[in-house]
Amino acid sequence: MALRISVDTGGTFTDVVVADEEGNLRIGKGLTSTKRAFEGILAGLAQVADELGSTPAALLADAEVFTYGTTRATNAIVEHKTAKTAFFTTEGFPDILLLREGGKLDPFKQIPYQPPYVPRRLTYELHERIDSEGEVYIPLDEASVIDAIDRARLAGVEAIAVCLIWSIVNAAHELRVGELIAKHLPGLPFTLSHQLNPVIREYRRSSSAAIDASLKPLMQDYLQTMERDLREAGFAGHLFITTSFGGAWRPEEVVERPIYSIGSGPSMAPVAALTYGKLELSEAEASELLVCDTGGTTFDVGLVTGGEVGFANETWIGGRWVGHITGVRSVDVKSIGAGGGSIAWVDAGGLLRVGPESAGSDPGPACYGRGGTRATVTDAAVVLGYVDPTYFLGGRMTLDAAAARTAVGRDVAEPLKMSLEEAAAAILVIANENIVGAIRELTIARGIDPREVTLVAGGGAAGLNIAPIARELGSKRVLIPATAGALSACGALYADFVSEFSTSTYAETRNLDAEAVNGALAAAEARADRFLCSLGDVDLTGSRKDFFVEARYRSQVWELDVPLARPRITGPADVTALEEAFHQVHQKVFAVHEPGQYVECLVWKTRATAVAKKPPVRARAALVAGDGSASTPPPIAIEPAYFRETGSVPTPRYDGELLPAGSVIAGPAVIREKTTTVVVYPGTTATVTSLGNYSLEIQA
Amino acid sequence: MSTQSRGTTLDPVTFEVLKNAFVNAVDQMGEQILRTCHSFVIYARDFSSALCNAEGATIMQGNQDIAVHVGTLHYTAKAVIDAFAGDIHPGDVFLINDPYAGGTHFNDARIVRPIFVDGEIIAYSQSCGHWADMGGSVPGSFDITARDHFGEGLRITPIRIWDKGRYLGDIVRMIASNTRAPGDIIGDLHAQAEATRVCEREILRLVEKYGKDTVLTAFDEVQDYVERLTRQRIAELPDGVWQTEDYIDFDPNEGEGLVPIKVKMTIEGDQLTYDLSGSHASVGTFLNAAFGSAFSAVIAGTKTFFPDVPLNAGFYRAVQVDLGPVGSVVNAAWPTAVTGFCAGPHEKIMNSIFELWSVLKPERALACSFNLEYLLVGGRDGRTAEKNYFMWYDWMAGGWGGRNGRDGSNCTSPVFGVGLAVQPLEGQERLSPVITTEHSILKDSGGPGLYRGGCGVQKGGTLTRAEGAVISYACDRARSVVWGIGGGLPSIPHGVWLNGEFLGAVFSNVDVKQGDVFTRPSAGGGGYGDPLARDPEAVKEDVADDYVSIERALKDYGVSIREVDADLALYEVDAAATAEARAGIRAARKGWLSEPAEGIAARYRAGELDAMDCLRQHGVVLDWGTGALFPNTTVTFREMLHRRAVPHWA
Repeated sequence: MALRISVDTGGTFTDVVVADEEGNLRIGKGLTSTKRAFEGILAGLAQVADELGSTPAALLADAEVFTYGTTRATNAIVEHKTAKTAFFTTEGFPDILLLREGGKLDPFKQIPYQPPYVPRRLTYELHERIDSEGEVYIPLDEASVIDAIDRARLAGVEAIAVCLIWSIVNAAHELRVGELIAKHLPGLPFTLSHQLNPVIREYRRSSSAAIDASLKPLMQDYLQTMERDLREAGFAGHLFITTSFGGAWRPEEVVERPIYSIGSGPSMAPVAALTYGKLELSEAEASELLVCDTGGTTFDVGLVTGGEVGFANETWIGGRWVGHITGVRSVDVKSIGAGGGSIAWVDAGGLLRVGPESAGSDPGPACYGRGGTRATVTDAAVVLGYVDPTYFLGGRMTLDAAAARTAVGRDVAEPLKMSLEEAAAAILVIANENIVGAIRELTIARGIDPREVTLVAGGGAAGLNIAPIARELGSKRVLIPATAGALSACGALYADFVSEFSTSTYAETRNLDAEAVNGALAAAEARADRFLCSLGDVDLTGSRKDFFVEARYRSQVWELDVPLARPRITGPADVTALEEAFHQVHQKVFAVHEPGQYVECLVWKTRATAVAKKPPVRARAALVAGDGSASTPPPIAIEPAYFRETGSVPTPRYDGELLPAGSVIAGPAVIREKTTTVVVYPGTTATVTSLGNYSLEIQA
Repeated sequence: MSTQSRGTTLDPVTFEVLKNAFVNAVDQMGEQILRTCHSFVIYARDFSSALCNAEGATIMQGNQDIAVHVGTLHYTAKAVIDAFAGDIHPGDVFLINDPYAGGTHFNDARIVRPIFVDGEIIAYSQSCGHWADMGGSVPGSFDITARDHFGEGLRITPIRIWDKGRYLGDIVRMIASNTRAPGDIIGDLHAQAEATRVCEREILRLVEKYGKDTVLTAFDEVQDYVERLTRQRIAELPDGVWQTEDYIDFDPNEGEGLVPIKVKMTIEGDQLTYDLSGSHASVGTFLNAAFGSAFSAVIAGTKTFFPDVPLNAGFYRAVQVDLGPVGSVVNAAWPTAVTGFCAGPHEKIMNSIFELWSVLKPERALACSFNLEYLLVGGRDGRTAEKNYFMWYDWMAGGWGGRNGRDGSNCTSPVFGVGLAVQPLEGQERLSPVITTEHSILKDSGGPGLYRGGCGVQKGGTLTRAEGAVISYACDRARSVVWGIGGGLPSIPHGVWLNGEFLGAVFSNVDVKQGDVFTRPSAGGGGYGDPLARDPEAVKEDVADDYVSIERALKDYGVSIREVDADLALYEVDAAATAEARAGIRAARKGWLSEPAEGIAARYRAGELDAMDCLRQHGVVLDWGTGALFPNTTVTFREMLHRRAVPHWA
C-alpha cells in the first residue's frame, strides 16, 4: 500500500503523520532528539506502527513520499552553531549587518541588540562601487578580492556571503567575486546576494545572504544524513523538505538555498487550514481564514486571504529589529509571545499580568512537574478543569494538578484576594486579551477585519481558549481540526511543490524597455522550468507558472508584489495592465493609490507550482457509520469545570473518537482528543463535521 | 494619598482588560499610520498617538511613540477644546501644529477627533506625525538661523478640517500649498484622520460591550492607576534635592560660551518635582524649546527610569514641572524660533535627568548619549530630464552612555526617538544625486570609562549631478561635547566636515556642488566610571572588535596592547607596561586639566594633539577646523569635568 508520511520536528515533539491511500491519518508524537532527528521520527513512527500492528521499517518501505519539516536551520542560528562565515561587502560599509533597519518595540527600555550576524573580524571590504543607476562608480579592484579570499582562508572560514551595494541593478561585480571565490577556494559554499534575494535595501539583502551562506555546510550534512538514515531504514520513495514558501522542495534545492527552510514548520499550518477549510466551509468562508497555532511559548497567527495563503518578507530570528532578518519571502506567520507556558503575576500596582515571561516547555508549567513552579496559562486551564491531568497527550503524560493549584493560589489568588477558580479564569481572560490585542494589530496592519474571517485553530492547546478569543474578535466561527495537535505536519501532507525565481531589472512604466524586461522574465521562467522538470518522476496532477513584478511608486521605499496577467510584455496594453494591477494592489494593501502615477519595477519573478497528488481528506474511521442523524452518545464522564459566566458547573466530558458526525454539543462541555482538547464554553456550540473535525459556533 | 482613598470600583479583570484595550486602540492608530503614511519621516517612526478624555487629559499614549512627542498630546487636545468649546460636533476633525500652544515644532501636525456617545463627547483621539515640509526658508523647514516663527514655516492654530463629516478641502489645500510637498501633506493628513477614526471605532466597540459608564470609569482609573504606581515608586526613594546642568554649544547673540540649562529635582514623600528655572535666555538659533517640548523632555527622561509604567496623565500628575520664567531657552515665547528644540534643549534636559536618576538609581545609571542630528541636502537632481527637486534628509545612529555594569549601546537611535530607523542608503541614492561613501562604526568614538560609552558612526558622502544645492545641519555638541559620569570621559565632538573644512554642528544653506565631499561622525556615548579601572582584558576585546585603537587604549585607559595577528583578532595585554602607564596617567591627569589652554590649542594646530586629546585629557574646547581656542567654553567645560570626572578618580 502506498503511504505518505510527513514529519514536523518541533522543539519538544516530533510530529509524525502517516496517510494511507484512502486518506486515513494516524498521528504519532516522538520526543525530539537534538542529536539525531531520525530518533524522534522513529519514536513517532513506532507509535503509529503500534496502532496499525506494523513496524516503522514496514511503514517506511510502503511510503512513496516522505515530507520532512525541520527547525534545524533556525535552531542552528539561535544556538550559534552555523558555519564560520565570511561577509564580503563594498568598501566603506563593514557594518551593514549591525546597522539594521531600526525600530524598537519598547522605546523606554534598553534592549540589547544581538551582535551582527557576521562579526567585523570576518567582514572583508572590497574596493568597488556601483551607483543607483547601475553605472560603475569605482571599478572592481580584483586584488582586493584576492586579498579578502586569502585572509578568509587563513581565518578558516567555511562559507562566504557576498553583498555589494547596488548589485541588484548591476550584478557584474558580485558575479566576478563569485568566479574568483570558485577559482581560489574551490568547493567552498558561497551565496551572492543578488541571486538569493534581489531586494533593494542593503541590510536585508546582506542579512539574507549571510544567513543563507552560514547554513549551507550544515544543511548539506544534515539532509544527507537524514536521507541516508531513511534509506537504510528501508525508505525507497521521494524525499521532500518543506520550505517557508508553504511548499516542498527536493533536498538538493534546500541545500542550494537553505534559508528557505527557516520557518518551514509554521508555514505549513495555513496550508493545512486551507485544505480543511475548503472541505468544511463555504467557499466564501474558506477564502478568508485566520490560522492560529498554539504552542508552549508562542501563539502563531497566519492568514489566508482571497483563498491564498498570505506571504510576507519580515521574518526575524531573535526578535524583530534586534535580531536578524531573513528578508526572503515566506508564508506570513506572526508569533505572539503568549502560549501555554506564559507566566501569570501580579504587578506592583496590584494588577494581574500574563507574560511576557514564559516557562516554555522546559521547565514548563508547574503542572508538568519538571521544575517549573510559577503559575502559567496551562496551570490555570488545569485548575479550571479544562485539561484532564490523566489524559495529557492522549495519556502519555500525567499532569500534577496539585502543583498547578499551589502555583495559581500563591501567585495570583492570594495577592488578588480571589478564589482559586476566579484567579485561574482571570489568568485566561488576560492571556486571551493579550492575544486578541496582538491579532487586532496585525490584522489592521494588513487591512483585514477580524469579524469577517473564520478562525482555524491548531496546536495542542488550541481548544482551551480559542472560543473566547473568537468571541472577543467578533468572529462567528472556529474550525478545530481533529488533528489540531499536528497541524503543521498535516499541512505538509497536502503541500504542493512551490518555488520562486527572480531576476532584477529596473524599468519604469512610463518608458518601459520591453526587451530588457522580457529578457528578465525569460531568465526567471527558464529557472522555473528547470524546477518543474526536475519533478518529472513525481506523481503530479498538474503544474502552473505565475508571473509577478516587485514594483512601487517613485519615491517609495517599499515594493509590492503585483501579479502579471501574461508571461511577457507584448505591447502598451500589457504595460497599462501592469500599472492598473499595481494601483489595485496598492489600494488593497495601503488603502490609497495614485491614479496616473507611473510605476518603478525592480524584480521580475516566476513562481512555479507543481500540484502534488495528495491523499484524499476523509472522515475518521470511527465516523464512517455516522450519517449525520446519529444521536450524540452520552458523555464519558461529568466533572466540574469553572467558567467565568457560570462559576463551577458539572461539565460533560466526551471522547472525540466516539462522537459520530453531526453530533451537536452545547457548552459547557469538554471534548478530549489524543492531541488536543476542545473546551466548549457556555454559549458556544460544537458540531462534529462530516470529516470528524469540530466547528464552533460563537454567539456574540 | 488621594488616589488610593478613592479606590478602584472596577473589578481588577475588567480593569486590566480595558486598560489593555486602550493601549491597543492607540497602538492600532500607529499600525494604521505606518500602513498609510506618505512621509518617509513618519514611516521612520516619527509619530505618536493618544487617547485623551473629554477634558483633554491623556488616558493612554502609544507604546512605540517617539519620545519627543511624549507628554505633549494633552496640550494640543486642550488647545483644540479651548478654541472650539461649545462648537464641537460629531464628524468634526481638527488640526493643530502650534508649538506655542504645547506642540513641538511645526512639522509635527496633530489631528484631533472628538468621540461622541449619545450626543456627549467622551474622549478625543489624536494622531501626531512629522510632515516632511511645512514651508519656511529651507527645505524640510529646519532653518537653524531662523530668527522667529516666520522663517520656520506655517503655524496652524486649532482649525477645523472636517465639519460635521464634510471635508474642508479648501482649507487643507491652502495649508498644503504653503509647503514644498503638498501631495504628501494631504496624504498624511488623510492617513492621520483615518487613524483617529480607527481609535474612535475601538472605543465605541468598548462602550457597546461594557457600557459608557464603565468605560468612563476606566478612563479615570487608568490614570489613577498610573499615578498610584508612580507615586508608590517615588515614595520608596529617599527625600532630597539633586541638581545638575548641561549646555547648548553657544548663543550667537552672545558669542562664544556654553549656554546652561539647569535641572533641579526634588523628591518629597511621593511627589517628584523638577525645576528648570535658572536656565539661560532663549538663544539666537532655533535651538529653543517652548513649554510643550520642554515638558516632554522631562517626562521622557523620567519615564526611562520607569520603563514598565504606562504613559498617561496619571504620570504627569505625579511629576510636577516648573519651567521657570517665560523667555528662557526651555520656555521660549512666541515668536521665538523653536524647531530645533529636539537637537537643543530636549537632549540636554533628558541627559540631565538621566544623570540625576543615576544618583538615585545607581543600578540604572547612564552617562550622556550622542546628540540627535539631521543633515539635509536639497537642490535639483541633474540626473533626470525634469531636474526634480530633491531632499536628502539623513539622520544617524550613535552611541549611548556607559552604564553601571555595562558598556553603552553602540550605534543606536538617539534618546529623542529611540525607535527611529536608520535609512537604507540604497533607498536614498535613487532619489538624490548623493552617494554615500562610508557608513561604519567610528573607532575611539565611545567615551572612555570603567564602562565605555557606546560607539558612534562615521558617515561620508559626495554629491554627483546635483544643481543649485545647499546643505544644512541641525545638531549641537561640537563644544558641549557628550560627557561621562562617575569619572568617565567625554566622547567626541559632533560636526560636519565639507572638503576638509569644519562647518560645525549647526549651519544652514551652505552652497554645495558636484564633487563636494562631506563627512560627519555621530558621537559615542560618555564613559561611566574611571577608565583606569577598566579591566585590561575588556580593553583588549575592544581593540579586537575595532572599537578602540591600540593608541587610544594606551592614552585613555593606560592599557598597553600588542598586536599578535590582526586578521585573527589576536592581541595581548602587556601587564607591566600597563601598570606603568596607569601610574603615570594617575599621577598627571589632574594637572593636565589646568595646563594653559592656549598652549594646548597651539599643539592641536601643530598636529601634536587631536580633538580627543584636547577634550579627554585637557578639557580644552576649540574650533575643530581652525584650532582657535574658545576660552569661555573651555572654562565651563573644565568645571564640568571637575564635577563629573575628577572627584571619582582614585
